[in-house]
Amino acid sequence: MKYRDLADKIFKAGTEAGMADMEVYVSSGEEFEVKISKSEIDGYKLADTSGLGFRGFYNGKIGYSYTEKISVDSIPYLVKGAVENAEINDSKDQDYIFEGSKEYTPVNNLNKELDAVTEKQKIDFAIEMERKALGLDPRIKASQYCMLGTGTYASELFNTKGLALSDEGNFAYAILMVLAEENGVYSSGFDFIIDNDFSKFDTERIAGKAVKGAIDLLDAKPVTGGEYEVILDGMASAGLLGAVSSIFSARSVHKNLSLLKGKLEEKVAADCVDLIDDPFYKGGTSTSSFDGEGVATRYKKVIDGGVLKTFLHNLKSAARDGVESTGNASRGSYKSTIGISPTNMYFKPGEKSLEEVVSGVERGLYLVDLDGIHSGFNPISGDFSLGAKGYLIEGGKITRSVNQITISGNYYELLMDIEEFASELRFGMGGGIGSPPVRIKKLSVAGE
Amino acid sequence: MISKSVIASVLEAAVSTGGDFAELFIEDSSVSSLNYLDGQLESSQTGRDFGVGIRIFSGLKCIYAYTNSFDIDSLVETALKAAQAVKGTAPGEVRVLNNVKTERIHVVNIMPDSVSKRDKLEIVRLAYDSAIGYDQLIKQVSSRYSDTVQNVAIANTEGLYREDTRVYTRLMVNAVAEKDGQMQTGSMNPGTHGGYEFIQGLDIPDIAKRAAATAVVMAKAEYCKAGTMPVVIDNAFGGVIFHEACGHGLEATSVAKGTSVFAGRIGEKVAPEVVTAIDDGTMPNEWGSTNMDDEGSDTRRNVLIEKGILKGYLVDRFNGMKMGMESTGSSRRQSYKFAPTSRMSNTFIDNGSSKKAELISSVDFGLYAKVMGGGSVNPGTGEFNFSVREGYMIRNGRIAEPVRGATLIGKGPEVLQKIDMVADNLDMDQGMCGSSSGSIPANVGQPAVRVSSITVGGR
Repeated sequence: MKYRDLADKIFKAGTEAGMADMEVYVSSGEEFEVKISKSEIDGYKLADTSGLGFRGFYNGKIGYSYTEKISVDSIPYLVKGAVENAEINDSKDQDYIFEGSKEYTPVNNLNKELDAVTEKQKIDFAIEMERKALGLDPRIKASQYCMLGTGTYASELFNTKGLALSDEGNFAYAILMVLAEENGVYSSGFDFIIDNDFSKFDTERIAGKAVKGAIDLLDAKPVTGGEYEVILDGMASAGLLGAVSSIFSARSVHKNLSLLKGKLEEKVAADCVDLIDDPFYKGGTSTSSFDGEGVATRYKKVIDGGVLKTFLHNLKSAARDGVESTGNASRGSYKSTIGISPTNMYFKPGEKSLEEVVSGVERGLYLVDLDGIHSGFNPISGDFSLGAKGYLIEGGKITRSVNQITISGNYYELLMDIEEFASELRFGMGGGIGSPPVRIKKLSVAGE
Repeated sequence: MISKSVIASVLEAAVSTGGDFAELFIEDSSVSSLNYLDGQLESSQTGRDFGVGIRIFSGLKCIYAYTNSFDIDSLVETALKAAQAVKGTAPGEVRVLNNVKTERIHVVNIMPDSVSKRDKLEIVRLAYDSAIGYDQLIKQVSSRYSDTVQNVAIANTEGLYREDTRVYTRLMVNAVAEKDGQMQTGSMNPGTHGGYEFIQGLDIPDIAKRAAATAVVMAKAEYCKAGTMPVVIDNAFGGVIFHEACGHGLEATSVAKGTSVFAGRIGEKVAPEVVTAIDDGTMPNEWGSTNMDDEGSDTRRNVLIEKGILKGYLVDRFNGMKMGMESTGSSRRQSYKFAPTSRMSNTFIDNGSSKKAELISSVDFGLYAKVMGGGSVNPGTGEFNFSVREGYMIRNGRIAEPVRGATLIGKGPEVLQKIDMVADNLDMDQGMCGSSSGSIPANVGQPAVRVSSITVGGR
C-alpha cells in the first residue's frame, strides 16, 4: 500500500503531540472527461488528484483535519488541526477508531477492459451520440450537455489499531441533454449511463431516449387539477428517495430530523415495498466491502414488506442505540467527517413491465421528470410540491404529453400509497439510489 | 506559491504542441468549519486545499487539466499530457511574466485563521442557544460557522501574473419547528468576502431568532392552495428568482451555445421599464465580490438590463472568443478543479420608485412571499421552480394568514415581463451558486417586486 510510510510518520508525530488512537484515509484518482458541442470538442478535462484525511483522539475526544498537499511538510499542519478540533469537541457521544471486522466480503469494482478504451474512442462516442440525436428529428436544435467521462479511484485506510484496508475501481459515464424547438416552444430531454462496462454504452439508446423526451414534450399541455393515480418513472422516484434518504439514518433519528423516529418494526409503507441497501450490488457506484470507518459492509432490507426493519448506523450511532453498526459509516471524501449514508439503496423491482403497469391504469399520469427536488421538497416534513412533466394515461394507454403541472403530497403518505413496482430498476445520476417505476394510488395535481 | 521559472516551464509545456494560449491557476486555501447541532459540536474541520489547474486554448477548443502535484516534473508532465489534445504546428509563444498588482477593494481587518477555534465555538453556541430557546415549537437547530482563506496566483502565456487572497467568513443558522408531527424550517446565512470582524459585528441572537421565527410561523400555517395569482416577492433573498430564472440565461456559457432564451437579443426589450438589473462584483466586502476574476481580469459592475432593455451578458474569455465579445470580468470557478466560466457575482434588480406598502395594497387576492427558499432552472427552456420559505396570503390589499408549502413555478423570461411594480427597499442575501464551474459564493438581491400573475404550487 502506497501511503503506509506516510501514515506511520503522521502517527508518530501525533503520538509525540499527545494523541492516542489515530486514523489516516487517503483517496486518489484519475479522471478524463470530454464535452462535445456542434461536433467539436467544447471541453476536455484531465485530472489527477489525491487527498488525505486525518483524525484521532486527544484527551479522549476526536479531532479531524485534512490536506491536499500530500507530503511530510503537511504533517505538523494535520496534527495541529486535529488537536485544535479535539480540544473544542464537546460531543457527548463516543467516537471510535475501529480495530477491524472478522471478515470482509470481496468486491470487484475494477473492469480492466475499460482501460483499453482509447481516448479517440471516447471522443468519437460523444460526437456520435450528439450527431445521432441531432439527426433523429429536425426539431432538435442543439445539445445542451453532451459528455463522456472515465476514471479510476483508489483509497487506503490505516489506523493505529493495526487496520489497513484498500479499495480500487473504475467508472465511465455518458450524459446527453438535448433542446427541441417548434414554433417558439422549447423543451428538453435527457438520458445518461454510468457503468464500468463500456460495451453497455450505446449511442443509439441514449440519443433515442433524450430525443423522445424532448420531442414528446413539445406539444405538452397541462391537465385539469385534481387527484390522479400516478406512475413515477424510476429516475424520478430515485430522485425523491435520494432527497429523503437521510430519514433512514440513525443520526437523523437521534437529532429529531426523521419522522421515522420510534417506528422500528412498524408499518411505514405499503405491503409491496422492500427497500434494500446492498453494498455488493454489481456495478453500483457505492459498492464496497468496507465502510468509512473500516467496518465490513452488509446487505440489508431497511423496509421489508412495508415494515421498517432497521435504521442505518455507523459505530457512534450504533453504540448510542446499543446495536451493531450496519456498515453505513460514510466518508464523502478525505474532507468529510464521518457520517451515515446508504450504500446502493433501491426499491425492489416488481414482476410486470412498465407497459403492463400502465395498462392497468384507467386514468392517471406517467411522470418522467420532477423539477425542483432541492427546493420544492422538505425532506424533514416529507412535504413536496414539484413541477412535473410526463404523459396522460387514459384507458390503460398513454394518450398525450403533459407539462406545467405541479404534484404535491407527503413522502411518508406516498410510501403507504404505493400500489406496485414495475420491473425496470434505474439508478439516479448521483448513483447509489435507485428505483423501478412506481405506481401510486393518488397524488394531488395542480394544473389548468 | 510556485516560482515564476517553474510556471514559465509549465506554460511552455502547455503550448508545446501549438496551443494558442495557456493559463495556470494555482490555489492554496485553508478552510475551517464548525457545525453545532443538538446541543453539541457535531463536527469541526480544518483543511488545506492545494492544487494547480492548467487551461489550454486551441482555436475554439478548451483543454483543462488539474493536479495536486507541486513539483516541477509532475506539473510539466500534466501540462504535456493535456497538450496532447492539441494538434498544432509550431509551439506557442510564452511571454515574460509581468506582475500585475491587485488592488484590495475588500479590506480584511482580522484574518479568520488567526482567531481561535474556541472563539468560533462560542459563536455557534450563542446562535444555537438563541434559536433553540426562541419558542417551544423549535425542536432542532443547526448552527454552522465557516471561513476560507483562498490564495490564488494566475499566470498566462500573454505574460500576466497576478495574485489575490480571498477571505470568506460566514455564519449559517437553520431552525426546525414541529407542530402536530409536521416539521418546518427557517434559516439565516449571513456571509462576507471579508474577515472575522464581520462576525463580531453581527447581532447573533437576533439572526438566530429570525431563523427560528420563520420556522415557527410556518409550522403554525395551513397549506397554500395552488393556483395562478399575483405575487409580491419581498427583498433580499427574493432576488433568487432573478438569479435563477434570468441571471443564468445571461451567462455567456449558455448564450454562446445559443441555448439561452436571451441569446442574440441585446438592445431588445426583455422586461418592463421598471426593471433594471445589475451584476456588480466590486461592492466592498459583499459575499459575491472579488478583487479580480479567476482569469486575472478586474472585477466590474455590469448593467444587464436597463429600464427593460437587454444591455449585456456576463462574459468570460473563452465564451467571449466564441461570441466576439470582451470579458466582463465575470470568469469564476470554485477551485483549481474547475475550468472557469462566466458566472454571476452580486446580482440584483435595482431600486424602483414604489413603496412596498403600495405593492401589497394593490393586490386583492394573491401571495406575499416574504422569504424565498432555493430554486432551480433549466437554462434552455427558462422553466423554474422556487420554494417560498415564508409566505402569506394577501387579501383585500392586506397581508393575511401565513401559508406553507408554496412554490413559484414558471418560465424566467415570461415572469420577467410580468414584473409590474418595483419598490425601493433593495437588499442582498448570500447563497452558494452551483453551475459548471462549481459552487461559488454569490449574492442575490432585489427590492420588493410585484409579479402580476404566476403559477403558485401548493396542495
